[in-house]
Amino acid sequence: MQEHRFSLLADSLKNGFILDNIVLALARAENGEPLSESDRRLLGEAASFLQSAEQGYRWLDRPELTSDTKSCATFFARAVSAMPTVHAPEAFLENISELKTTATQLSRGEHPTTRDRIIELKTFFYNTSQLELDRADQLGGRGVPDVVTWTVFDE
Amino acid sequence: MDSFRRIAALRIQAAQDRTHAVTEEVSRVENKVYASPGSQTILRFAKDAASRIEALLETEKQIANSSPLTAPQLETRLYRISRLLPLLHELVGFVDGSDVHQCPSQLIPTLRRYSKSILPGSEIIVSSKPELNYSIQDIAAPLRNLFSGTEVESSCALLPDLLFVVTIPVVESGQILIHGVLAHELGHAIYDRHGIAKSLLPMITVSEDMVKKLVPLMMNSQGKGAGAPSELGLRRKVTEEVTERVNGWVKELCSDAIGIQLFGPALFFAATHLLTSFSRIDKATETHPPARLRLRLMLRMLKQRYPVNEWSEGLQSLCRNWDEVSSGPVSGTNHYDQIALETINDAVLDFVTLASESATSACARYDGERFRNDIAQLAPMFLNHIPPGEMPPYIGGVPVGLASIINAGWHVYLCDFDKFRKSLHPKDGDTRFAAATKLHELVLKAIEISGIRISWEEARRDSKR
Repeated sequence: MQEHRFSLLADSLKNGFILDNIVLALARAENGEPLSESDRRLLGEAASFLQSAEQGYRWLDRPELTSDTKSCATFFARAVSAMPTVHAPEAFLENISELKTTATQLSRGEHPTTRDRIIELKTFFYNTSQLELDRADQLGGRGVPDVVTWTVFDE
Repeated sequence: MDSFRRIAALRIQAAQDRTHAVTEEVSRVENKVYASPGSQTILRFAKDAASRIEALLETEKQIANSSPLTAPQLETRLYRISRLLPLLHELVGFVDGSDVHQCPSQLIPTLRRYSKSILPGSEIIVSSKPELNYSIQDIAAPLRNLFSGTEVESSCALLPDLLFVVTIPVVESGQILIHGVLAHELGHAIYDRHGIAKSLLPMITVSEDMVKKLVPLMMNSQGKGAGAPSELGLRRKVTEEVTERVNGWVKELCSDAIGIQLFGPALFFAATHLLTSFSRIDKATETHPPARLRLRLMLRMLKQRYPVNEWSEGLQSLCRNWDEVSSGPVSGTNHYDQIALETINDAVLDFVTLASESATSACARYDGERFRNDIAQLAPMFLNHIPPGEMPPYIGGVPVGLASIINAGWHVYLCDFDKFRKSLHPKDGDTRFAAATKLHELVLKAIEISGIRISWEEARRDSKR
């Protein structure tokens, strides 16, 4: 039996749309534009995402199962991939905590201490959105024509 | 305008042209006669969604022209939206092979009725494809999830709660008994609808000791030189791999268990039949447990709920063989599989069985008594080439249920096939395959008669109102 690729692809695209909109909201915040209600709600989701990533990190210390365990583990994995220069657990937790603070502040309509904080948060979510796009490409392989194979030339 | 914004405009234009292509294709195929209304539903959805995606792309033009996104950020955003188009193509592709000339259309009314009785608001289409592959998937919930909160959300109002797309190999489209696996897929939908994960998962204990030891173990085995994974990387890997397996495997096992509750031994027979052709017994993935574990659960349930020791020698022998195979250790596993296997022990299989029981109503469950009666009453009818779609007396009698017909068909296939084959005209029984085709035709006819009988009763009930 084939695994549920269609469902996984739809899920990946859905996550990707949310991430793209978070990046757009952060680009507006970085530009000093006022954030709409929906932008702030998205940044609230961004804070929840980071909270889940932190929970996912801690799962190994107390490996209990709930219906949220898998999504927390997935958020944790994406967060690690989105910070390719962070290798130490302590640095990871510190970064996540800072990003979460920034996202929470923006979602409440407050201003972070520096613009760099917004850029860091935007970079994190842009990296995450890129990873999600790679995943969608992998999942959608069957439905997407391989352009490279059309255009490759013998060397 | 920056050049990247011009390229973005071209990307949007190309995607909009492609939405037109989808609409054109739907117009070309929508007048075919399909075996299930579900096919038309998919086409209507694809057409409607295509026009809304076109509108969505129109709003993206504004973002492309004036948003503060950088070139790569904008490209990612637009590329993702254009990924919706292959998805629409795939939807239209599901319909291909579901017209009355290509799929076993007699089966559809009964399958639809059965699935609606278990999951009100569900719809089903069966599509014959050239590939040698069987698959069943609900596409409505993923689409609803994907488009919620977007401009395409209102297209989802065209979809039923659940829309199962069953794909079967065109050259085997008459192999009706395999459709027992539908019960597993209904199990997935029931698992989600009843929120079984919420109550079941907290009852399962992952060995703290095993998972905690795994990171240091892997760190030691992979060394500490350049290129070695970091502690964080290993922690991530272990967490993701273990949680995905335990969650996914429990869901699959629970869906199997629900399938056994609904269809009884027929699911087990269909699963073993597919397994012998398409799977390796110990092959596990992140989402699916090894077949050996799945068969172990199904056999446990059959032994608990059915008087297996009283079954005919043919069935007992089959069960004994699979029992011996499924009780053996799962080999060739990695660390993550091993943790999942240690976690999903016999106690967890019992929790899964109990959860499947509480998620299915007593009247929907197939049981030992029904199986005994079906073998005694329906199987002989197959042997006499009578499709058992209704029970005597034929005036005022009752239609036979889908699970009963499929179970009786499997019984003949597994235990009385030689007898059945010998009873056929020599031309019909000259090869094993030809004889099996005749049996499947009888099963299909029985399902059709049952469907007609139920339709008559429904019409009579309606006319009395």
